[in-house]
Amino acid sequence: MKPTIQRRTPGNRTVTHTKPKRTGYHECAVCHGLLHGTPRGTVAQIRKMKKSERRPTRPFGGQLCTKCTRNVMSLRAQIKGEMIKASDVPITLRRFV
Amino acid sequence: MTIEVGRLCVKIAGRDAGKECLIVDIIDETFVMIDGNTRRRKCNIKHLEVLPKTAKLKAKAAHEDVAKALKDLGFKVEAKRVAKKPKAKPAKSETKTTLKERVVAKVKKTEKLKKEVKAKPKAVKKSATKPKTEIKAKK
Repeated sequence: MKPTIQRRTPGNRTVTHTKPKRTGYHECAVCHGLLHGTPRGTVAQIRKMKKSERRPTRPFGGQLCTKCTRNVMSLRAQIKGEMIKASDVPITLRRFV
Repeated sequence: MTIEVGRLCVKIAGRDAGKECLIVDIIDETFVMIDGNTRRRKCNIKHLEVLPKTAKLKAKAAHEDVAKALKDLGFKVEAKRVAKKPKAKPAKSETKTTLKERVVAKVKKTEKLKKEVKAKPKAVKKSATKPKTEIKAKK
């Protein structure tokens, strides 16, 4: 349902004004925590924004929270440095590593 | 693993996350100077994943030396983007011309064009010599 407001016009009519719906809060794909630096507005408002205004400029910005990105990046590095195997990565993070 | 000059690391946080770098200098207990595929910058130790490999490096080594060391360790080194220098604008005094100068230049230009037009011979019409095509009468 679109959010509506009842208004009385100067001609003594009651009319309903509708507003486009705002997008939901953006959340992390792993831990479902709220993401910072992501805007919440109507689709038209967000489309008018610049790319840099829509999400943080780091890998997985707007997709994962900072904690999860650090986890993913450190696991990637450890695999690169042959400290752990790819099979040691937890299943929840496997698609990002 | 100890933190020392020449230690291979991967940056975990920020826009350079996931890029390899070497420790170039140790500033204090929490901060180090890094360089490599990342920007050359001060960095918190908490933002680095330290790897077991090390390279022989002098403290405060230049970027070229760091890039060489990273290549020896078997990592690709991305060429750093160099910002283009903006073209120098001519000084205002050079571009400024007086109204008199502009009028004289315009008059000279029109005179030159008039002379060119006069010098050109007139083109002869070709269509006058050609015979007209006959239109077939309808039955």
